[in-house]
Amino acid sequence: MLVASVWAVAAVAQPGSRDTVFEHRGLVLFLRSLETGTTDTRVARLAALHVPRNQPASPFLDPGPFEAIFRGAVEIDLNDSFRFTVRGNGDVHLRIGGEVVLEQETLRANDKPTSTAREVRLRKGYNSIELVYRSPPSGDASVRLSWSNDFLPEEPVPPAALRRTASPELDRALARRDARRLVADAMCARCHPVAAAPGEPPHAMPELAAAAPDLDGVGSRLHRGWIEQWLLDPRSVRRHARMPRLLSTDPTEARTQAADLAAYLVAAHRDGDDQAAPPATSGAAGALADGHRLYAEIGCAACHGDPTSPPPLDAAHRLLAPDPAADDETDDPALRLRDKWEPSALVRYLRDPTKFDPWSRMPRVELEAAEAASLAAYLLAPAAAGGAAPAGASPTTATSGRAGDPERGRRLADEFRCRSCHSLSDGAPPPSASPIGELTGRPSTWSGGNTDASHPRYELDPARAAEIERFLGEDASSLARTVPAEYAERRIRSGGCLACHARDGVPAAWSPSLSATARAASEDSAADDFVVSTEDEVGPDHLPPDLTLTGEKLRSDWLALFVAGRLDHRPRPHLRVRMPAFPSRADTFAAGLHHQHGLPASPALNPSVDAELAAIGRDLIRGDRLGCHSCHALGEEPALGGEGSEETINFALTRPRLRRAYFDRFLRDPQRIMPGSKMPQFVDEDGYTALYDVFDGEAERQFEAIWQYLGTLD
Amino acid sequence: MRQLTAAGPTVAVAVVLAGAVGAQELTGNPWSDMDYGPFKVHSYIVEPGNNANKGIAIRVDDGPGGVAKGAEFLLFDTDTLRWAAGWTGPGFMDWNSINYNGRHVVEPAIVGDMVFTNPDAPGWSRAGNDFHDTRITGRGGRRFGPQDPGVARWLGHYVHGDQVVLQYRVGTTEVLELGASEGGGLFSRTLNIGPRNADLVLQVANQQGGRAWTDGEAAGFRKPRPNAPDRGEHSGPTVAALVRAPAVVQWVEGDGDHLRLSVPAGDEPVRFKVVIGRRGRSNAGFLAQTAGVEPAVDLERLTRGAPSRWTETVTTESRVLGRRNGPFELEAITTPLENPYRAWMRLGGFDFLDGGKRAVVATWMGDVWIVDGLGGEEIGAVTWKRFATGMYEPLGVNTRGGEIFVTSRDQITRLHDLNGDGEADHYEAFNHDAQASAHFHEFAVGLETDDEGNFYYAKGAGHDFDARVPQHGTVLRVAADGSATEVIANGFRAPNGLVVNPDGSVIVTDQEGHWIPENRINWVEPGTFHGYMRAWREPDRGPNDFVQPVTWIHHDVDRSPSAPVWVRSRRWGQLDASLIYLSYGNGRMFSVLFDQAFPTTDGPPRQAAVVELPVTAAPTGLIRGRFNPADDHLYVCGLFAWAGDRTQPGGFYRVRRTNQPLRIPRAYETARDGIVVRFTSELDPETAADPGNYSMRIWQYLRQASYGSEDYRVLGEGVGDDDLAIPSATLSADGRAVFVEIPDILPVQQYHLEMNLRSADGERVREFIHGTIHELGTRDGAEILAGSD
Repeated sequence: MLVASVWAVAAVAQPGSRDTVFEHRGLVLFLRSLETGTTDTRVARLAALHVPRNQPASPFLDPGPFEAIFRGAVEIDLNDSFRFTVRGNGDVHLRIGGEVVLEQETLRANDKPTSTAREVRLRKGYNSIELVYRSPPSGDASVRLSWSNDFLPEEPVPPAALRRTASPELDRALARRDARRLVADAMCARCHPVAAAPGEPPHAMPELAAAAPDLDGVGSRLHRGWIEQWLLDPRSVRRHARMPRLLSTDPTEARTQAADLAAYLVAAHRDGDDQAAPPATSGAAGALADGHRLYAEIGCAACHGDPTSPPPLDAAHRLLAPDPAADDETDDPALRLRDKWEPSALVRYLRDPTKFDPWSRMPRVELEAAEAASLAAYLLAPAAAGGAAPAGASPTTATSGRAGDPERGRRLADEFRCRSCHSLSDGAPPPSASPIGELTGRPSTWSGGNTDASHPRYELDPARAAEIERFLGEDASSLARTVPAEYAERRIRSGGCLACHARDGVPAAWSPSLSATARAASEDSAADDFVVSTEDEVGPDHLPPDLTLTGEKLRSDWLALFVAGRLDHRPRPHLRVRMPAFPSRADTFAAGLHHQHGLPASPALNPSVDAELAAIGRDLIRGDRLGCHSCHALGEEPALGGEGSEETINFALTRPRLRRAYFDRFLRDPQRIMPGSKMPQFVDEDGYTALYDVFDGEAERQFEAIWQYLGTLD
Repeated sequence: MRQLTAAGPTVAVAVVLAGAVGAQELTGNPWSDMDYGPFKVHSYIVEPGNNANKGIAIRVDDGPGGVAKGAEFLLFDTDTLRWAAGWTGPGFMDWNSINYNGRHVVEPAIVGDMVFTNPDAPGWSRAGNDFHDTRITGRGGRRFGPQDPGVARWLGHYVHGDQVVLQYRVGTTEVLELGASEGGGLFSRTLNIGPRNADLVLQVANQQGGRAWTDGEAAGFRKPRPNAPDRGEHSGPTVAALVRAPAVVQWVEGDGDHLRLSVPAGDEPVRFKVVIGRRGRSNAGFLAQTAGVEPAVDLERLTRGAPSRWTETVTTESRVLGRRNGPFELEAITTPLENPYRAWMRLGGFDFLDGGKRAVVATWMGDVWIVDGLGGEEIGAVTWKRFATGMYEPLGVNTRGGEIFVTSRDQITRLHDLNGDGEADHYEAFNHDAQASAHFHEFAVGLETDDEGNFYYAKGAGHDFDARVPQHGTVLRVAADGSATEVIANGFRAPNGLVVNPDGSVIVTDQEGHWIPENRINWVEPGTFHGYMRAWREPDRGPNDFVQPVTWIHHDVDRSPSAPVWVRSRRWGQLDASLIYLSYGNGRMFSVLFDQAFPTTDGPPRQAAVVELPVTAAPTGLIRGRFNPADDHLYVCGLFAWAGDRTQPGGFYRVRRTNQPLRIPRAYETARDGIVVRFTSELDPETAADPGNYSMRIWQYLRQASYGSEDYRVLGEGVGDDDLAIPSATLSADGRAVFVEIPDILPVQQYHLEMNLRSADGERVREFIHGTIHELGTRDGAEILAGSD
């Protein structure tokens, strides 16, 4: 039963006056179940959403019909007028600047949008906006808002133009989400089962499937001394460690326990896999230089920083000493690579960090064996030799000095339920503990300073600990729900994507041009008098692509394969920075990006081709026609070699990769989507290309012919 | 009648199909299928370390299709006056060049079997002078440019059918020379040498370690060329022989690496042939082959004009492109993109003849065409006639005094039609001072004159290396009689067009790249340096010691500016006598406004801004423009090469100023507290007075050795821009000027003032002023506005 008229809600919930400061990006999205009245609030990047049938619009709402109110402001830098268009299915109502510009409209299908009857005048600065959407009673639910005018072909209202205010309500909602994420990150569900409704496991929060690193063979990989220190206090080693403290709160006893556990792990879990290539000899200057270059180029510095800049996103740890003489970041484990790793194991790890830790935050980056060896050599070399570690630091396997009792360690592993999270093949995981919804009343588990050693100790600040308590008491059922759009957003942030990729008007946190390490590496190979060096060019064609439109740009199947690292080719081989692989739940991630744009997953690729049109398309792309072939390879046929051809994508990848609507939009105005790109703009303001002899110059029909031709490429 | 498609509608074209193309193998690549005629000038790599920087590659075997489809070739370098190579195909060259296969950072190399080569050194010497090289030594040690004209001087060449007669002077001795094939891989040089006041030596062939021998009329090397293929009778070491040479002409003995001839001083002209080939199985066989060679002929008779070879003309219809009924209409003078010669019609420059009824149009691929039928109020059918071919990337044309001058990378050529048949027979080296190299980015652009008839053109610098020669990255002035060239300013990276002002200063554009953070317009006074640190410059010049441009232009506004043009047209009304410039990058045109806060009577303008003209974007980039005296309209031409939005290969257009009102900014003045903008028409008072209809963004650039620059904030840190508050906007009493109040306005490398207004008659006026503020005016905006009515 519907609990209230959405329009009535909208009428009483107008945002503030023109003086309101919309200081944050995105819109506030209010969600309300139309069956239960349950509400939730989050931030939306766009005025758009897509919720597949039988799935919830929010992890805090049951599946079923819902109401969504996007609220905030559109910011423009000049008075202007726009026609607003809403696509999707369901009921919509749009108010801009306090005026109703779209009365209640019912959208029946995605291909029959509704538009404002006239252009809506927007003032320079903030213009309040409120889009109210009510999903259909059943089936998929979609809505997305776009704008256009005489100078601007229709496009989704861009995220960079959407602004919102802060509010206590939103803060509470975000804190609730933060608690949910922390509970997942803490791997509570490894011991405490999440009560899942029948049929819900596929939709359960994806992160709940995460496990801690496989400890089989750990004795061959990590130094015993480092293991002891880690067990004693994980956050003293890594600031963002997910591993809780487990050992005794009595320091002496804890050290004994750590020694015993380390002895057990090292003795019982050697895998004998020591035959892998060791790092290149640290004295080999060539290997160090290669490792230095790789570190700077392929993207290590994007997350881990370089000697002159800390990690850009504060999510990864620093691997390079900022100043060997001055800095003593004892709590920064990054400086302890040599303390932690058996050298040959580090080489193996660099090639595939997910081998022993499928849910590792450190992604797999394609590395040749020799590259991994060079990189390891660079990371392990003393700074004095040009490497990463600070001068004076020396590799140590120093332990507590206690030999440790492996048998006692084995018993401690049982006692601390290590096998709940870690795989150790000499024993089975312990039975499940109480359900996660019954975990309330144990704030000591979460907050710091407690002395109760009977539970894991996460040592969070009291506010966050309280929020987790509240979450577990009221919202633990949300762990059994998945909302792909939210999952995608979490992965974007936890995966470090924004280190390399710009998004929503925010530049990438890191770029090769800003990396001192990269600069140093390129200066090593300074151009001589007769050699042209364009290596230092930095522009949109030389950087990883902006992610703002990824959800409407890429096909779901291709995106999932790409993100999972399952493509056998690199679409942008000219980029020296390498896209890491994120294999877990890449399909959910891809779907979530589409949902953020109000789009469902793309349908299967239609392989049919209109041969007649394709022939016209082939002619259109010739070097002396639209000139596409000058810069783009056509399958096996290389580009003719125009400037920028090294930075382009093979046309054979276009149809498997791109959604058609994006293809058209990009061709119509490349600079609108990728400012500064070398891609020409073929279409004039009237929709014609320069080739008047084909379809009288109509760009739309010419692009259709090219699309058909692209379907012939393998 | 043949149906051709071109830039406009399908047109009916009256042509007679070229009948001689026969069974040529076409590749589908426009660069290698084009019929360039019998020769093509370019910089060619002969061998590693041996470039012919001004090489005339001549096809010497018979057959259709021109030099690209030949099988036997000779290459003459007009700087050194040497035959750099003789070779046989298959293949002519590898087409690795920006204007052929589009590749960057490459230089084209000749391909095939080398019969002989000569090193990058003079081809003639006074006896005993040991081939002293009088060319300048460029940075890096190589030699560039012409020799001392008193020692050796290239004069030009004549075309007679497929024959190319070279004309040059050695000391005071006039020489005519013809390279030819005698069949079977045997090349010949026919020499007509005038009176000589000194003994001369001429270079015939070189081979390191070749161990030369001489024996009467013959000479040769003992060792085959390294890696010479086995071709039976045509294999073996390189040998040469004199054919009917006067006795005084002798082989020079005793030089193991060279085959050289001495020609003693004397008042009598000498005429002979020297043939060059491979020995085959024996010297006797070679000599038997040469015995059948016809004697040298008098070459002067080939210098009087020749029968037409480009007899097919193409007629096209013009048409209006894009929107009609605006203040401007763009009319395509439809370019014959398809033509009987498969000529790649990428237009690089033009000028008018006959008071504007005809135009001379050059193509980047080396052609010159005459377009007939222009200048009327309506342009109907126009006829395109091929006039000249084979030139080295011509990008400038001037018809001073009714003569045709063309800027190419090797020289300024004066073209002569000796017999009045509508084709050039004589390619006179009017000025051969160019210091050419094979570097792909070294374009020679534009050809303008001052009141004294001196010529001006600009020359690109290295793409990303230190200049090799003093002409890299310069504006050059060539004396009216062609006798000398002077660098008048330097420090440019990639200029693509210039205009000469009445006071002798020059306006030249430049492109974003290394050391040049963005596109720009430069006002050039003689002797100035303009900031491209890898152009030729004084070694101790600091990176900040340069003349700032009058404005930077962000690539979002125009990704590549080209030629400035002074408006000389009553039709343009308020814009008459103003400056515009063309865009290669997006095929549009812009008005250039100079800040009226700084009078230009005392010197160059302080700063400028650009405003887009409401002209439909051309299908090509635009690079040259001139006003036609016949119809008082602007004509423009252009092409697509790379990094542009408009990709039709080439086009020629008329820009008609109609009688529709123009609603754009036509002047501006910076104030202490904002900007006053004056429009060509009255504005709607309500929208004009609404400050929300204006935005002012500012940003700056990082000038650096690497390519381009990000946009950096001025009022904050990092990448981005800053919005300046606009509390008010005030319309002048006459309704045509607006004072946009910007209290925080400040000198800044780039600002973009955008306006979304309406005209008094209700039309939308969405315009911008995009420019640079080096210095603010000293008056208040209100004061300026009050005085502007």
